[in-house]
Amino acid sequence: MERREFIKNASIVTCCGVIIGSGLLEKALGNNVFDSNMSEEDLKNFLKFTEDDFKKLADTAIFTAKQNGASYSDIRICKYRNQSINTSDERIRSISDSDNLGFGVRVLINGTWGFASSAFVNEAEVVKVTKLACEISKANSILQRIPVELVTTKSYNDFYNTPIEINPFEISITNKIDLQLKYNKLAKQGGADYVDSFMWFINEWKYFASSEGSNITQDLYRIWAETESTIVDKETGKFGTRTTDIAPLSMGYEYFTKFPFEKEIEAAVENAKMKLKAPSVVPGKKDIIIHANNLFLTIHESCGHPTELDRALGYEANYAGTSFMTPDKLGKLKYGSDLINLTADRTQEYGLATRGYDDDGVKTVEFPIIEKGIFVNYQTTREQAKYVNKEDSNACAFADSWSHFPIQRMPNISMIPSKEKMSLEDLILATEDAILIVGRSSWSIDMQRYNFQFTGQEFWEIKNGKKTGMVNDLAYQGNTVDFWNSCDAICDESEYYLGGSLFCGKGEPGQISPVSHGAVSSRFKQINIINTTSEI
Amino acid sequence: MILEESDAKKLVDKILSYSKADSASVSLSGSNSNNLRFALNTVSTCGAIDSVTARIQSNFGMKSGSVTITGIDDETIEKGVRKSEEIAKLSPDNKEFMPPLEKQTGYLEVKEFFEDTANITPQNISDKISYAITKAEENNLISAGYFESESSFNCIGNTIKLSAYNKSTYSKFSTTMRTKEGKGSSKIERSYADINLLNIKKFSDKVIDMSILSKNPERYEAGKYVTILENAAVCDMVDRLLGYMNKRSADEGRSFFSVKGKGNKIGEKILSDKVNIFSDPQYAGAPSTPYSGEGYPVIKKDWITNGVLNNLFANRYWAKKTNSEYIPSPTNFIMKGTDKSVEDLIASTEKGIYVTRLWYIRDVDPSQLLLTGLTRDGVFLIENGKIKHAINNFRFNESPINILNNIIDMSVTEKVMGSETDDSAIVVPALKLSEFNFSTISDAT
Repeated sequence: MERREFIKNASIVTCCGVIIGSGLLEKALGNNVFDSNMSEEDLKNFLKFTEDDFKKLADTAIFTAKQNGASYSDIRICKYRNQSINTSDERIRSISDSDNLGFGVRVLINGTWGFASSAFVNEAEVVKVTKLACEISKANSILQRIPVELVTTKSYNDFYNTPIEINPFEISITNKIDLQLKYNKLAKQGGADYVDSFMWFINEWKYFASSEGSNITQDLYRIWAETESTIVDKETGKFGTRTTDIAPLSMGYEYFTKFPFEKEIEAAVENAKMKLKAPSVVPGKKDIIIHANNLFLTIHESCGHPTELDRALGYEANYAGTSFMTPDKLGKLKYGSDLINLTADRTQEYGLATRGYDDDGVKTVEFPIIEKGIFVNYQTTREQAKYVNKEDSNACAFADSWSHFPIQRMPNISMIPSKEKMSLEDLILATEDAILIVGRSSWSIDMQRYNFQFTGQEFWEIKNGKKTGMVNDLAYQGNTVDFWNSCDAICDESEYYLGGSLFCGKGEPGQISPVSHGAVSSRFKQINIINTTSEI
Repeated sequence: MILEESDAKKLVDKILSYSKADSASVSLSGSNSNNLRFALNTVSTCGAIDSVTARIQSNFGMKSGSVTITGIDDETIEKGVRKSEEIAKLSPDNKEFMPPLEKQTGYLEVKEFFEDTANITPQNISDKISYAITKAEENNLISAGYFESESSFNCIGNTIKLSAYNKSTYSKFSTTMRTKEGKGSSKIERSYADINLLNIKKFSDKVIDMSILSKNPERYEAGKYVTILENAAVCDMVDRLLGYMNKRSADEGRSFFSVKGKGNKIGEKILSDKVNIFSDPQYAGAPSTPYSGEGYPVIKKDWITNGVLNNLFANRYWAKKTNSEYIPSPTNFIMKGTDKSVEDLIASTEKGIYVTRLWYIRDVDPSQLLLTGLTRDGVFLIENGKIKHAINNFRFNESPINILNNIIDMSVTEKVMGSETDDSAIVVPALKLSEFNFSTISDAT
């Protein structure tokens, strides 16, 4: 979307309150912005009255920051649109549409950050907020023991958008509701006692400008739909649920034509009924095949988070935690078996963390995290890359809102599939005695990412190369390094599944971030299985 | 942005004046907040946020649409109202639609706004945090932490004259101090509406003492042990329990609170008779909003009395359908304690485990409320009434139902924050339990 169009559309939708152009100079002066010895002439020379309206706001911020002592500054003007449709059984529960516009200014003065933000987008407010960011930086300088230095980056003037086929916001709400109620009806016909469904459509638009000369506009789209069926067994009083396994993705409305939702829902209901009647699992050490639609989350928790450099250094010690993958282990730690290759990629098609540039204004890249089982790289930002002797950031700074400071966030981190032919069917055929774990359910891992416990949605016994039936009440426990080193077989790219989450939480104030993980179904040897009904 | 009551009500009325729907309701909220984060004994990120949002719901018959906007100029407002009407018109009937609430009376007087909290400056914040960092350095510890303060308002109104307003502040401080070799750690986290109660010096000193005590943890096998859960750990578990106390899912047979066949567990004794849990927006030291999201008065309510389940919360539709009282979910909660200190609980323990905080708590089996999670930031072995030494962290698989049935003793209550609770006001005691199920050892330190 062109900027002009954005402004036009924004005014249709929200009238975003961007006051542009005339009176800029007067307002800036009238607000006593430029406390020092600024002459009107200096100001005119600095402010480039270009066609680009956002650039004018950016110039105001950057100029004000410089006048107040900043060696670096950036501004993000962001507009988020979220639409959600929620239904239960045959009825609509709620339809919501939200618009959220604002900006944040980040300044660096003598190696100390300052940041301030506001929902009121106009020049006077940009000036006020920039001055506040500078005041905060100066106040915090007494707490600065290690001055912030940024690794260099090129400057960019660019536009990036998610390559969508159909803009979900151009599809009528009626169509969306009809589709969802059709899904619910299907689940009810299959025998579900209750069905709860949602659809989410997300647009993240942002403009970034820095004092180093970058001007980057990005228009990003994400989409998700899920249907949860609940079965209540009237005889036993037991109940169970099963959700669809189609993940959120960076995609347009074509999402619904690309995936077999109907088939997923029918299978989900059937399997939920079967699960309620299935025998309880016998606990103990057991080989397991983890389906890609469960393993993606294991990758997120046990590889994604511990390779975040800010965690490894100690910046998240008060909240998300630290990491067992400390910098002394870089290039040395045998994280997994030789089969394990994990790559970080913010350019991956449909990836939720995919974008053109991060919130430091660094161009996104692909880089290896685990190569043949060895830990080779961290996720970095411009501030922290130097702590592992890197000259460049690999573009992992992100803020979930105009009101939040960008912090190091996870790129899409995915398994590289086996080059040798191996379908899930082949893998089951080659397995004597194991349990197949399907679907994401609950997960928990410690604050250094050693000890984890995951459940799933379905558990199938495998005997002599065949699925013999379901079991219930299972969770698997592991220790990250032992677990990944026990992997003895992985499937090929025909089994590739791109899972993901819109709500990866980190930071204070709490921030969420969208991230995808590609996985292939894989086998792990002698993993601890517990029976969740006999734990207490 | 903070609007006083009369200005907020005027603005809500103005938004409603654009409505052409059968009925409409508005929830207008604004806030000003500050935050500061530190780690590795140095400041890291910071921020100031000035924000305002309005949520507009329009209804035609049994059809509704909701729109949220930021910005409060006339054009934004009118476009927002129109858009919510367009959505409502396109929606099918919601069979469970409830018309907006009529004008309510009986809102409790709550003092939730404190000028000193609202007026804090960046320099004040920096000066306060300086103590924590400097003391950590002096004690050879590595500190990380967070400060946040906020003033906010909310105003609710609808086209049939309901009107509610609340203004509040809160201030929050937390710090984690780790020992340099990386094996010991302690954390505290507290929040108060009144910043004068946020004693950063006292909290920092306590964490320093506990962090030094947590050095060199020894290996201790997993198992079921007599366990003392500090207030913050209890807070997480009780908060989870209350989150599940939804009448509808109980009545529908898909909850721990269901009774096979039909109905729910209201009136049943489900917990130890030592357990008493209530909510009260006027509770001293833990004030909370005196109305629900749609503007219904939230009053004092007993949820558990001597272990008996008194109430489950239900929305207006479900209350009407089941011919029961409309009980919105509470805005704070208090679990009664005793006059004993945590030290008293330790002193009376021959052998046991002392857990300070929990982490990464997730549902494993909702039918038995089985939760899993880990201990964090300080686990200790108690022998002969004394803390003997620090031990490793554990994964647990436990249920708040078990925990609240296994109470041997309780301490005084304190307003605390759990690792995974939000900024809700929660007051709980520490608990001494006859048994707690540690499932495996965690190597995390």
